[in-house]
Amino acid sequence: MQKKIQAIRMSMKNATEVWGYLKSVLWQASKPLTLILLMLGLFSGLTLIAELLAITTLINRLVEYDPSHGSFGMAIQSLLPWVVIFIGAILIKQAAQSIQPYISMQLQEKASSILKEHIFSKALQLDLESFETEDYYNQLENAKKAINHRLTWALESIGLIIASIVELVVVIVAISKSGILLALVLIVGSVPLIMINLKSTKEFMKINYQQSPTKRHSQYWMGLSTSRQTAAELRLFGLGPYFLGKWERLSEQLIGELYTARKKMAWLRVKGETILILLLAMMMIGIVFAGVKGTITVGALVALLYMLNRFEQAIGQVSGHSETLADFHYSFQYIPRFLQAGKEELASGLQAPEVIEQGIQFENVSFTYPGSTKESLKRINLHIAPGEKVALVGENGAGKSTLALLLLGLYQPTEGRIVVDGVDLTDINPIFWRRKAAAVFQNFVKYQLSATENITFGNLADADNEQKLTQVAKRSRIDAVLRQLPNGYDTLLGKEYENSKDLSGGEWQKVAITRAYYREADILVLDEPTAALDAQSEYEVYKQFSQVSEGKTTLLISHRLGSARLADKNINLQAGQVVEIGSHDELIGRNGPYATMYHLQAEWYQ
Amino acid sequence: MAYSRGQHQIIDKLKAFYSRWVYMGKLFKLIISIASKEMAIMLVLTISLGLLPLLSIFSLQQLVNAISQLGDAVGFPSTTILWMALLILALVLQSVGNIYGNMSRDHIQERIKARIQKLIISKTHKLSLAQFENGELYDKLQRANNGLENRLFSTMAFTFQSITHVITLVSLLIYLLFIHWSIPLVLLVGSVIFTLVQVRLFIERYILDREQTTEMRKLSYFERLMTTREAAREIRLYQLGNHLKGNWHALNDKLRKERLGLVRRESRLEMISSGGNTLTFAFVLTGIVYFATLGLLSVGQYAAFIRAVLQFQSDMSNLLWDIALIDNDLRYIQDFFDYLELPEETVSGIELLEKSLVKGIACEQISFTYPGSDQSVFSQIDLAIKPGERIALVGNNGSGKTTLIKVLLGLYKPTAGRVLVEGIDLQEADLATWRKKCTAIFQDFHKYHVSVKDNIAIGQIEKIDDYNQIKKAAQSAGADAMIQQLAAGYDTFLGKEFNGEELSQGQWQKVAIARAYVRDAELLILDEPTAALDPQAEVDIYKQFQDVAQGKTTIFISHRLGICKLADRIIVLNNGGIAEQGTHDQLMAENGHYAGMYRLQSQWYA
Repeated sequence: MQKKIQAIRMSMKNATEVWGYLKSVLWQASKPLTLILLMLGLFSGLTLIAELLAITTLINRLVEYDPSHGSFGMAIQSLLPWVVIFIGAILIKQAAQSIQPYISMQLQEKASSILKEHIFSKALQLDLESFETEDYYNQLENAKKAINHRLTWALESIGLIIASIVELVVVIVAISKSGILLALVLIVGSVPLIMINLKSTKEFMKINYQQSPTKRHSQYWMGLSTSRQTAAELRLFGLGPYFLGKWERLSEQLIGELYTARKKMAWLRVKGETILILLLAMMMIGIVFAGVKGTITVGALVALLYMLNRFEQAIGQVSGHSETLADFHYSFQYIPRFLQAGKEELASGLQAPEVIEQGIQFENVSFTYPGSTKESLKRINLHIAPGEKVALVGENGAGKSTLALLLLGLYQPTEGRIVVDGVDLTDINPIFWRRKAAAVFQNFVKYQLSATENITFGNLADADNEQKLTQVAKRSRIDAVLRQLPNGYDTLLGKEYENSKDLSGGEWQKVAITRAYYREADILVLDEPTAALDAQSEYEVYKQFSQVSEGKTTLLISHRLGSARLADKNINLQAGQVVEIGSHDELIGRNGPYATMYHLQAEWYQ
Repeated sequence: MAYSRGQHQIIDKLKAFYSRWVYMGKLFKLIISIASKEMAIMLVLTISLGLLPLLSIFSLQQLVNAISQLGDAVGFPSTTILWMALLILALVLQSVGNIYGNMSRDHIQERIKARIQKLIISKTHKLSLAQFENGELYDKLQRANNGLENRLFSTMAFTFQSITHVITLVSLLIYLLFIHWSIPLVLLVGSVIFTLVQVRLFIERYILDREQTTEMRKLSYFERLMTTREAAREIRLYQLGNHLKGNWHALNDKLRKERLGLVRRESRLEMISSGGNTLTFAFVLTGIVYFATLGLLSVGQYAAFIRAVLQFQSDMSNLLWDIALIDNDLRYIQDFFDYLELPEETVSGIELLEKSLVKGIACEQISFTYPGSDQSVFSQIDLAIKPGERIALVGNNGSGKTTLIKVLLGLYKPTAGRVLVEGIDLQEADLATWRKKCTAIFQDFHKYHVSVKDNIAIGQIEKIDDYNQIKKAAQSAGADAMIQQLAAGYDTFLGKEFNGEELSQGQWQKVAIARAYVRDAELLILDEPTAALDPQAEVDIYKQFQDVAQGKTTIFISHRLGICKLADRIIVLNNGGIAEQGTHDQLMAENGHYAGMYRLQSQWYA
């Protein structure tokens, strides 16, 4: 609790930084539009002077006007200038108000594109490890929400606050002519209201912050209740009422907490407003007395009442827009915060060797996931020769996929180093290094895009090579499937759009394999490429394996030890450590854990 | 020609507009049925808030009149005091009413929102699983689920606001009518231009909005790809960042230009309409001068009059704005009602007795086609399963294995034929009593972000606090040792969502198997339970399986054909039907599809 409040305070301290960032984005979007938008608010405040002046004079003249002496023509003649000023002021104000949305929208669109661009660039520059943390997703979520919060609202609010302050000053000056005391009372009376409004804004921000974990929990239960992924289990296990109950409890709690806070704040506000209204009433009584005593004209009296009304409105505007501004600040700060968080990937470094000659050497490599206390890999030492085919086997959670990610330079070792031809991999520009590599990950991406894009994403530099596309697709036996689709290779894959076609799990896997083959890389990682495939498809994949991996350094992760025979070298990982290394025959001969595993599996086929 | 086509378009839009507004009635009926008390409070608030402006204007007029008639009289006459008190009361009521009105509205909003969410969740629970597989229906579900409750309520809130505006407008019109009959007429005529312009703008906004929907989805797909873990690895490996960002940029710029074009037109029209408004005001003002010269107006009426006209115009524009917002929301509300009217799964029927299966399960000529698809998954399958029988289901990817078991579980209804359990057609049976007898681990089992204990207990949610039972299930699934090693044992929180521990795919699979085992069922179904498991774990699972399955009817699906030897009968699905069935030896002797697949696989272990 104490910490949270402190966090809020800290964020207040960062205010200058946040607004500095906002300013730079707006400047980049359009300096003139930003200034115009600010000026429009000020401008509409100034029109009030004309409006007030006109209306008081108008009313005064009308009141003093005696219908028995004079005609309509005469009246119009004396009043016309004031009518024109009044209408003119309103017309100018309304014209300003109708171009404002256009300017504001234009600025907003530009600014939000810039913000999104910043966010995406940041996300794309982050290292892979950042994606493993909950923090990242929270910050991303908050930053995205902040973009939806319109930037220009902040500007408009600032403009309107300035305008309202101008109005307040105008009214106070006008009133002070009837008596300095009146003006003073007015100023003093509005202070509590403004204080209360500020306090309640702060209070709601605090509540919002405190509620966010509970909110996420309740959304999670709601998601479980309605998502496709849980639909089958929910029905089979009869989980509906349980999920609903969990959600309901949390949602009631949230509503209850908010209601308590709201009641408290409403009461405070009522007190503040009543104080102001009573003050105004007292002033009115004073004015009426003055009227009675004849020190003030009826016209001036009416004008005063009109002004008091405007005063009240302006006060409301100031506090209302301050709230918007505070809200805006609260959510907007997440964008600069997101842009500063996380570790960015190195984008510079040495060239990767054209041809790997000595191979890849793991020297005492350890790796721990961020936020975890357990080492996933412990002091790994191994050598992979150029063109060597290595099979990585081992239990679930032994660190096989992690090792592959380190090899690809997607993770950096927490200790030790990976050396390529004598150069530390962390010194090589990851962009150059990855150009040499391709992979089929265990949970590869099903891009909801065309089949062509799904494959050519493997090598965008060579994206227009149709001949290569079909050749590679034929090799992984997916060409025939893709050809049969309504628009052939241009068909959108997946379920996302009306005209897209979904593939089966096995077909998707073949597309992912094709994508990896499209890259013509020197290093190829296959992470359980056949887990979901039937016997026929599995056979095909492995049959091609030898063909495709020809001349490439290949890392194959598989639970099917039979397929490990295809490799030159087998590495058996257990609990993050290498327990055995050797060719299939060697390891079988050694009769260690690998041999035991192999026999276990082979038994089924005896 | 082009003009008349445009006209047609507008007529179509208006028709669509009308058909949407029909849903207003439905919405109100629904909301009254779930929150009648809250609605009554809202209504009273709405009407009172609508009438208060008139009260304050009227008392202002009377007050000014009273003061002006005081003349040089001595003392403080009671009528002046009365009107002043009334004015103060009106102002206080207005501000208190606004504060408490807003507060109650917000609170009621949340309560109603929660109830609507509950309605959606409960409805979702009652849908059949097959409905989740249909792309179009699923879209509807997604749309109904995503933030719709906000729209439902905002529709309501805007409706109430419009009622407030209408009441204020009507009361002001009547008030002005008493001053002179021509004033309301002028005001109404003056609002016509304004209204027409607004209607024109609504229509344009729809057209653009609808045109942009698909592209907006594509845009957000790109956003998701760039920022989530889903594609983080491949984007880094294949250097897709700039390509994706470029695509996003191009699409975003295009959409932005379209939107800005509309806003530009909007602001031009807005200028015209606000000009019209000001002219009307000028006209009325001239009128007042004229009436004054005729001696028709009292002093108080001047003051009140100007305020009334200004209030009228601002309420009028607010009203139109609210209607636009309601109309926008109604487009989505149609989806909501369509959703509530979706056919529900029939769960009630003949109850299956608690005693164990005697006659077994029989499929008679069952066929299945996914809704919205024209290709059957399988057709006219006959299959009898004896109680206690152990069946292995094999076949290529996409041969319908998973679909068949979902039909057996009563999760899908066969499109033709019937499934008999103990001689009772599942379509006539009480599905809840049938599902109580079944348990399953699905291929795409869900990873719940709750504690390990709860993850397992989900298989039998009534036993959520029965540690012994849960531990036993975990032991049978070979998960116990792994769970013991976790930081907090069975109470360890899993999943990244709430900062829990992340398990490897294989570890998750063990947890899911324990989930299936915790249910004391008679029919046990395992859909590729070991795809992601290492050989040792796989063997353990199947060894344990033989114990757990003792006396139970079991069906398992596996691509590891060696494992099928465990089954009493192997059923081979191919081309939408049962291709072969028998024991392993029988099928090998038959030398058909199965034998071919088996040999393909076993050669890895030869």
